[in-house]
Amino acid sequence: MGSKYFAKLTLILFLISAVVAALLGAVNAITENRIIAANREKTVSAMKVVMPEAASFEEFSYKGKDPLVTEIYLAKGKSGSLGYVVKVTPTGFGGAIDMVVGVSSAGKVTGVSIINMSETPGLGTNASKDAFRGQFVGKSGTQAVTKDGGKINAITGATVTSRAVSKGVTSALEAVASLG
Amino acid sequence: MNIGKQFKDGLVSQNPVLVQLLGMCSTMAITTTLFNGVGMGLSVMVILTCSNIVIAALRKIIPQKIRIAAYVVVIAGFVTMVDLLIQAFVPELSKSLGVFIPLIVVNCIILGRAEAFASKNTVLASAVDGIAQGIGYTIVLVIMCVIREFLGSGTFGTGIFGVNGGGIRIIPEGYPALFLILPFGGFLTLGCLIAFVQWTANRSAEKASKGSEAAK
Amino acid sequence: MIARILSISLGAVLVENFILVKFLGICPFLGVSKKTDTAVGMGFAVIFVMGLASVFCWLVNYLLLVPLKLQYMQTVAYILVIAALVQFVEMFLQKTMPTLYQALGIYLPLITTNCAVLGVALLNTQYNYGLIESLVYGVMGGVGFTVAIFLFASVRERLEFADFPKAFEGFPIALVSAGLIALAFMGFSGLKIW
Repeated sequence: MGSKYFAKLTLILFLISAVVAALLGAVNAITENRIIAANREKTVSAMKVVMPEAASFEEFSYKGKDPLVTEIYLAKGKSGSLGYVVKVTPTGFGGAIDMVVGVSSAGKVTGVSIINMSETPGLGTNASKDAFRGQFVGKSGTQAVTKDGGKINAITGATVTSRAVSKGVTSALEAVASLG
Repeated sequence: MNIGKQFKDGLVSQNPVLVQLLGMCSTMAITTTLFNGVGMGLSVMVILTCSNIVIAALRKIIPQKIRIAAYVVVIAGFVTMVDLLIQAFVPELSKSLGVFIPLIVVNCIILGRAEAFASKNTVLASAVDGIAQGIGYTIVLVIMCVIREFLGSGTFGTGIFGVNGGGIRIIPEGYPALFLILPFGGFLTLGCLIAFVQWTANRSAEKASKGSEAAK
Repeated sequence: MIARILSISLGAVLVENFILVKFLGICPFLGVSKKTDTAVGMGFAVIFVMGLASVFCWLVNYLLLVPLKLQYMQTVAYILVIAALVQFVEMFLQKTMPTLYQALGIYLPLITTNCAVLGVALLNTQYNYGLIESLVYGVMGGVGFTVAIFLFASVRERLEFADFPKAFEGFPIALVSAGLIALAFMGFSGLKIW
């Protein structure tokens, strides 16, 4: 039971960790691109929902400070720019909600679409229903649920989710306004 | 080795959730739709089987003193692999299970089986144990999901059946007892399920004792 | 900043209680809640380890994993950090504060497999919390755990005198009572001050 014993313990543990790390590296190399592609595909289809007329989306560099805004795309139609699509990730009940908000050149919401969320099924997940999302269309400025003095009717039993989505829309509108 | 007995243990007499009372967190947290339950159950089964195999194969090499650390590394490795694969191929599942996929690392079922079974048995027996316990776990998850989803959202099979994976509606909207898909419903459903198992066990024990009395 | 810390704390203790709303740390919650004093002991051990784990996992993530682009190793790295941390805390307490060690010692090994600890580390990363926010979330998550386990242990002590069907004896009745506490905590769900 001397230092030799401990060296052996360390070596075995190190070897196991090294093998695990190498295997993970391999699995990561295989899955990395697919994960990025899968996310990309979902984002693009969500962007098409909020800006149906757009023919292409160009990534736009966003230098603002709002941590909720992750990406901004310039939506291009046949006859020039239609406005922007903003990807925002407000925090809901079960974690981050990935959503995109379409904002017209006039600074009004053209649509809201949720890419991913981990909200309670049957409650928070109702945020992806038209009845809730549709309320934002045509709005501008700060959005809030009626409980907080705004005009958005919250989903029954899911105030946290409704607040998060409203916050996301507000951030998207502000980000576009800051672009000028 | 007795495969039949191992399966009977995993499914009924030593069911990981209902009898050994392991892996409670995920059992209550994610059983809100059938999709979640099946996905979680299968993930745990794969990880449990793989880690059982590796740990059984290494059982003579890993020194007693550092065994827990070694098990944890092996388990965490498999969990991360499954996590990455789910993210790549079933992104919807990865999002709806959220943090509970990486948390399989600390699911007591996996470490529990590693310590209680795989570290003392052959590779083959450990693989069978992993599959049997995994199926036992999945069945309980599915039962919980079906009950909670049916009573709580009034649907069956959300994420698997129906238009756009919306599930088959059985109870009209507005009527289901919403609280069943909330945390309270998780505790209540699992409590009643375990109570049911105890009730059947008590009953058969009573019958057996009456039978033996009658024989006297 | 202070408002942010207060709102994180309020969320972690009441609105999104780790046990009763997020379902993290159920095993120790059911396992060591038969008596109030052991429950409180476990609670303090969890606060301690969750705070430390939040800080160390944050450091490992942002100083090691992110610069090396090894984020996919997060789960493995975090669980190793937590296991090492628990071991270290145990040795440190044993040498320097024997009385505290005697009080918390038996709970420490159990904490490695407490999913609230790994959970808080993963959630900190998911929510993009900074170092201070992570520390606050970790400690307050632990406080939330302690509050829940203390309430539950108090209820459980009284269950001994309660009359319920025989089939519910032991775990089932404990689960149902835990559910009722969870139902009470639902009342906090709309709570927002800032």
